[in-house]
Amino acid sequence: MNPNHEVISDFLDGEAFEPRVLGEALADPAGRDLLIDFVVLRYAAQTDDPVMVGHPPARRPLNRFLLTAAAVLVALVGGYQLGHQQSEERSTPPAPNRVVSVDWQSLPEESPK
Amino acid sequence: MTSVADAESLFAQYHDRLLRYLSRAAGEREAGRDLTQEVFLRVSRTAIPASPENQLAGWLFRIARNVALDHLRQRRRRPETDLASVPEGTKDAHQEMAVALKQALATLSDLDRDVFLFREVSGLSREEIATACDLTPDAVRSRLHRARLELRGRLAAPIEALRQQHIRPRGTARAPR
Repeated sequence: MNPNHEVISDFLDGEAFEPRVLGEALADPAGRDLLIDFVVLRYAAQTDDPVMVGHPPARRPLNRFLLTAAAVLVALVGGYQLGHQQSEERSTPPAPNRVVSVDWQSLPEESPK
Repeated sequence: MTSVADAESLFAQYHDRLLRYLSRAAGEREAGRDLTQEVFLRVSRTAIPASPENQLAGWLFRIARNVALDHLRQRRRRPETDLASVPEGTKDAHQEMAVALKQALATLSDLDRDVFLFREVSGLSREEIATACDLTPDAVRSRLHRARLELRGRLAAPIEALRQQHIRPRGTARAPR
């Protein structure tokens, strides 16, 4: 471990450092490589989402969309069928259970008060 | 005992940074979410110290560190995900790095791993890390540099592959909060 290269970590961490020492560290090709590798390492640590590992999620949004679309379609078709069936039932009057016939002529006259 | 409002306020402020650290320490996002909730429960059961913010962050992340260590102790008996579990055809440079980094982090000591994650994933300052890990800021500086060098050595191939790609780190001067 080159102790002069610790200044590269200081720089990356936003800590105080001597620009002269950083300049010397970066004048060395190994120091420049180190800076680039540390930046790549930071990128990898910050951007990797562990849940993605082994479970690429590419199909999940599409599956969810298709399921939602299918549920909406079933609801629409079912609702239409039900409404259509009920409107057909309403267009014909129900059959009577029993028939009451009244002979208006034979009703007794109402007596005057 | 902390009031629920105080705990929620503190939690809202640090939630994302806690989640990032705990997900990475646990190796999976779902476990990270559960552990973040566990931190919230522990915080709500204790008194929040009246400290400057850098010490408060250190205090909170010390609790998070204990939660993560408890989880890892329980989990170390279970097998880890390895490269073979990544479906064929999806192993690009980013996924290779994801798997390799997870494995490389597991080879670090708990302390070096947490120093690295607190800095790179949660964006804690060296002082905050020192409070969280019971170290001096100088010790944090040395450990952080050493952890980076060790990871760099273990991840030479995926780092080289990523050097050929476009990358967009969140920041080089200070990790985001």
